[in-house]
Amino acid sequence: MKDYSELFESILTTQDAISLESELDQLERAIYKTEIGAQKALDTLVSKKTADAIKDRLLSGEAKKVLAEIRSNLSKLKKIEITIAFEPSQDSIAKIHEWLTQNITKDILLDISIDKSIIGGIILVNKGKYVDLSLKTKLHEYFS
Amino acid sequence: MEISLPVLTYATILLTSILGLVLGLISFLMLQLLRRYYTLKQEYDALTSKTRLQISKTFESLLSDSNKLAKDSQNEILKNLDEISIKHSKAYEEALITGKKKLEESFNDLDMKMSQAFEGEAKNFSSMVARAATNAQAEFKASLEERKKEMFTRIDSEAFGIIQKATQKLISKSLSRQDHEELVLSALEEAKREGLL
Repeated sequence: MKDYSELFESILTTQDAISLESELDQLERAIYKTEIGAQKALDTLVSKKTADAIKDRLLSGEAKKVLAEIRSNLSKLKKIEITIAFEPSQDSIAKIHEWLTQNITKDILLDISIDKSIIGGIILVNKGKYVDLSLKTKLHEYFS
Repeated sequence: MEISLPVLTYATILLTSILGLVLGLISFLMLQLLRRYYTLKQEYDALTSKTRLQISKTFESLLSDSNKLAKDSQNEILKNLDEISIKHSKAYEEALITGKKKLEESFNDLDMKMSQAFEGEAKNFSSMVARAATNAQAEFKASLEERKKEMFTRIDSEAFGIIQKATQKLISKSLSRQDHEELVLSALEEAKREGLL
């Protein structure tokens, strides 16, 4: 993770992880199954951020190893399921991710669901532990 | 020895004359007998008719006597029967009166016993009804309390549902993304303080 910190800074959600895996698949196919060179593949098939993060090592001839390491690091990320009541911006996701990384555990991946019926707040599922911090539950507790 | 014809003739004439005399005698005797028979027959008829008349009279007399006797006997029997009937009627009447009295006494006794028994049963029944009514009242009260509780719970739940929907609408309209973010982060902070995470 240490070597790819710049790349993994932007992998906050399961959707980001899926996109990265897809880019890695395309890169692998382009490099080993076509005659497109690694440079051209990086320029055309992946995002600039990803390309910048892995460019040096990939072009140094360790492409296969680099791709395997990134995949390995991706598989080590711990998934935390969260449910929120609003459509989050990238900034919102970053703030929640940062808070959870600092307070719960490092190397996490957010699996985000949106459920407007919870009104506000958040519901967390981490390692099988369910924590309901939604406004709906608070209101229910208040009235019952 | 040879018999001469004249002798034979005279002998035959003699014998025939003797035979004729015998026949004549027999006829005379027969005639006398017939006369005697008829005389006797007449006497017999006269005698039998007289005897028949006497027997008939005797029978008539006997029949008359027996009828009279039978009538007398019948009257006597009827009389006796009447007497017996009267006696029986009286006895029956007396038995009826006695039976009625005894029956009345028995009924009075039974009535008294039944009244006592009924009174006891009525008391038991009354206390049983009172107990049942108390139990039913208690059950009804409990059921009513339960129902009230259930209804209040339902009302609470419905009220909560209405308030929740209203709150949801209000909050979802009034909350900005930044508000949501702050809510999420403050909820997380609070959960951390409470040790929920």
